[in-house]
Amino acid sequence: MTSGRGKIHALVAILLVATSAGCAPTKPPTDEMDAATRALNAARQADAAQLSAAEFRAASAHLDQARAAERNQDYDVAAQLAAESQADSELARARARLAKARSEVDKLARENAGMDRDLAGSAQTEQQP
Amino acid sequence: MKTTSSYRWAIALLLASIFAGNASARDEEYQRLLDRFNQVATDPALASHAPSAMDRARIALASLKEARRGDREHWVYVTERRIDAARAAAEAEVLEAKQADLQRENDRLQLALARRDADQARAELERQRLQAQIRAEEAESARRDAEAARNEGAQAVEAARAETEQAKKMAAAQAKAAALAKKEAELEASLSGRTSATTPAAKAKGKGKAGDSKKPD
Repeated sequence: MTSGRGKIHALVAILLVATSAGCAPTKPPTDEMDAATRALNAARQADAAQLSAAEFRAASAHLDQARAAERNQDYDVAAQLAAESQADSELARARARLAKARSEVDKLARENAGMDRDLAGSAQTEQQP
Repeated sequence: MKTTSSYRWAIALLLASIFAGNASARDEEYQRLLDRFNQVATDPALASHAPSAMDRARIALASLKEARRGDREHWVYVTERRIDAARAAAEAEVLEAKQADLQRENDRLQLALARRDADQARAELERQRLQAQIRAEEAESARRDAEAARNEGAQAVEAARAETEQAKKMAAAQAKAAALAKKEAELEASLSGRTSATTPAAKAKGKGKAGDSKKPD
């Protein structure tokens, strides 16, 4: 019986240590916050606010939430929100780049078709007697 | 005692089924994202593009597979965005390559248009030069005609003036001759008047001279 109680006490002690370790405050996620901030700035510079507005808004909102969690010393949540903000920013930036490339391709294709017509027209005029 | 044991078994089965259900849901979520990733990774047009974005998506997938239950939602979110970002980056690279091709074509066409415009400008310049040359030749021809006409007019005036002068000279000569003839006749008449009293032959000679003096008239 004494042996059984001892085992139970040891189990409880282990659980308490594990729980207290799980709840202990980690250090502020400075690297994650910095990376998320840089990613958002890069997305902004790539015109993602205009060309990929929904993703950019999500990145900005997640970064705001991460900062709030950091202020509340909820560092694990802050780190996760910062990582989500970074993923949003990278997606926003990639989609802005895609939108720009698509726009340029459309513009160049139109210009080239116009110049082709122009040249073909002048070639026909030269061939006419 | 038997009832207690049955309860224990029922609770164990319930917990096992709950855990199994959760695990199955987790597997489905992971499989959905893995399929989504593979669509990009096996696309012949996209597979070789955006390698770093593809690597980030692959790492996120691995993290999702190994994630604790409490972190899975976070990793699903991150993995989904990383896969979408990889696809967008790969598509952007494909379009940027196409853009480069179109830009080269654009440069070629602009050069062709510039050459055509330069050729047209040269042709127009040559046409205008020929027109100017023709106009200059016509003007020179007209000037020469006018000069010739002016010269002809001056010659005609000079000829008329010379003719008039000649006529005047002739008239003067005629008048002088007439005056001389008259004077001669008068002299002969006066001489015959003085000699008629001397010889008849002299009288006849005087008459013959008077008849000759009338001839120039």
